[in-house]
Amino acid sequence: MTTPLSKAPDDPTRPDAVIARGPDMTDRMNHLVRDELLHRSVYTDQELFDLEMQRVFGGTWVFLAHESEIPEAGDYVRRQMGKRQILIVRTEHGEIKGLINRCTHRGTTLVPSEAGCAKRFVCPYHGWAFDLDGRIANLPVPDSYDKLYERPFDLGQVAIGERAGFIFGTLAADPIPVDDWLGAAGPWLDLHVARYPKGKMKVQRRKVVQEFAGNWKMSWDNAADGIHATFAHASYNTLGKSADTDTVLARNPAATPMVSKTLGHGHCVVDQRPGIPDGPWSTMRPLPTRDDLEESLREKGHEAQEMFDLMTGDMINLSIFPNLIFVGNQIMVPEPVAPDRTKVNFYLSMAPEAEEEVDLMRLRVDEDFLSFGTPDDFEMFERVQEGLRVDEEEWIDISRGAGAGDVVDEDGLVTGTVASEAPMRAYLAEWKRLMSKPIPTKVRRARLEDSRFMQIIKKRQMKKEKTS
Amino acid sequence: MAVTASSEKTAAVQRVHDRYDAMVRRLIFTRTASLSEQALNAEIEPVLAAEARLLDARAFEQWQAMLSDEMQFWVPVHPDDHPAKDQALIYDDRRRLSERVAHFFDPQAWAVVAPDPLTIRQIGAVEAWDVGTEIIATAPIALLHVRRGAPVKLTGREILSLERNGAGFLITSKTLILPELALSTPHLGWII
Repeated sequence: MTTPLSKAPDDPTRPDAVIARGPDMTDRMNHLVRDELLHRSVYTDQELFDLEMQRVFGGTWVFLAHESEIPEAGDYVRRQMGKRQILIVRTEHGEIKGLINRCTHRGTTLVPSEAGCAKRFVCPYHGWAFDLDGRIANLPVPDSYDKLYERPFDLGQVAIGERAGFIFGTLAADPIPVDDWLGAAGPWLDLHVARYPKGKMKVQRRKVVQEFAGNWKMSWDNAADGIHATFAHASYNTLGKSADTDTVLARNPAATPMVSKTLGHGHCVVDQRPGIPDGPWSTMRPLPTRDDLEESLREKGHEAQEMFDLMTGDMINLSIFPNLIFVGNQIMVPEPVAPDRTKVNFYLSMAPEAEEEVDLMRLRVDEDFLSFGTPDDFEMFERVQEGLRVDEEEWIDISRGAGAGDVVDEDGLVTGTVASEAPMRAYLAEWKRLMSKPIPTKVRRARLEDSRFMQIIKKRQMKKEKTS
Repeated sequence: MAVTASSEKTAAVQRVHDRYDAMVRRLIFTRTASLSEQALNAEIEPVLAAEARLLDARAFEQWQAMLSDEMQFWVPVHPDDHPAKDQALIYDDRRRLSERVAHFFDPQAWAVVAPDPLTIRQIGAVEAWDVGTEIIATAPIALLHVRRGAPVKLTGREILSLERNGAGFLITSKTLILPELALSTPHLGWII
């Protein structure tokens, strides 16, 4: 009998097969994504969406979790990578694994909750058990398999990479190192964490999840869009003005010294600091508990701007393609559901080593934009999606900034004003690159010979063969 | 200057904690409170009904007249959350509540105007208890919101605290438990 690992190396039914799925799309991509134009179907087409779930959410690094969410051995969070549920687990040895939440027997999802702590993962259907590192630990009636030890029943895994506590995963067979993929975005990510006292950032357990009836890339078009702040968020700015406060969004986009930069691989950053001379905290109006918390900090002797600024964001909107967007103290993770449906996960980051007033304030700060800002973004995304239903209006102009203010450096990275659409063109170039060709992927697994359970089974079965 | 933590709690930060703890205590109280008295239920039921009706009618001036200056409004993501530990969908004081009302009438608040939302709040059986320092009331609530796109239907439970004010009552706090927040909802910019 042929066992899975004795099959030919190019046999696609091998459990460690490297497979590049789907058609070559180069010609179609060249038609849809041009230097200054973008085709509407990029937001509406089901076939492109299905391909995105493989090539973008799987074929390249995607953000999965932050290490502060799984501090102890056995801690796990369940995250989405396209259509796949991934368990980000801390093993007994402190390693981080990305296990596919799918029993290797029939495919049952092992874990029904979003987070928890486990000693092992046991499938409720037939009792298969897996160690925290994904190795099979036990299954019922093992002797009912011939050469069980040659069957690859260890859990499927994704490759894991880390930077500054942020955990990324991919199914790409041969991914570039995370640091290379982050490239110029890496130091910005380091900077984001560096402002936290003792360099410690903590992601809160509770997230807010909201969805909009639009394509997930709307979040990307919006992330570095400095013009929409003035118009879409006019009502947020009005609330600020009514309390004599200039919100960060209330700056004239034609005159502000804020800059946007493309950082390679679709990443980008909008640095708002040059436009906020009085620092981040100056952009916030009165908020629930603010008076008490400021009074408390002053009573403790804190007068430095730095402490108060820590209560809100760093005024650097960093976006790491395809699913990690930093705005304020929030980590926004867009999760595609359908071509015209997207969930956005809003995680809140905290400063556990700062005075407690800082985190108490952070809680109330981020509810503010979620109430008075985010709804307007979602409203615009949904109305764009409605407008994109017009078959005959095929093209969207994405040329703003090109030849009109954008400065390109020797690495091809672009610095522009906040009016520039260079960040949009840059992520679309990365999207096009990923979508054009089938990307070789593979499911990783623990090595069979390392499984103690399998060793025991092997010895037992060999002994049995000898005696018979 | 160091920005790391010192251990002493000031009176100001204690005030914040006390307010938050009181919100959680009310919520927990309603979970296992003994049978309520009919007479008090009958007294409180019109208050909850009027609050819902005024909100549906967008009669926010009359609605705000029902609120105490100390009013707190909390919409936790999960019923086990604590306002000192978890981000909520909403945690408003009286000031932010009036901003919310003003926002509803800002013609540039694109997500909550044009068309103006139509809402119905359906209140179920009202139970109320006089706990000495205040009256705590709870009722199941169903909300329908219609504006643009698909109608939003939510079911939950509201927990209110009230104080006597002459012949009537003032609402001192409201907590809205909406189980669907644990999964995913459209934006709820219209919720109040």
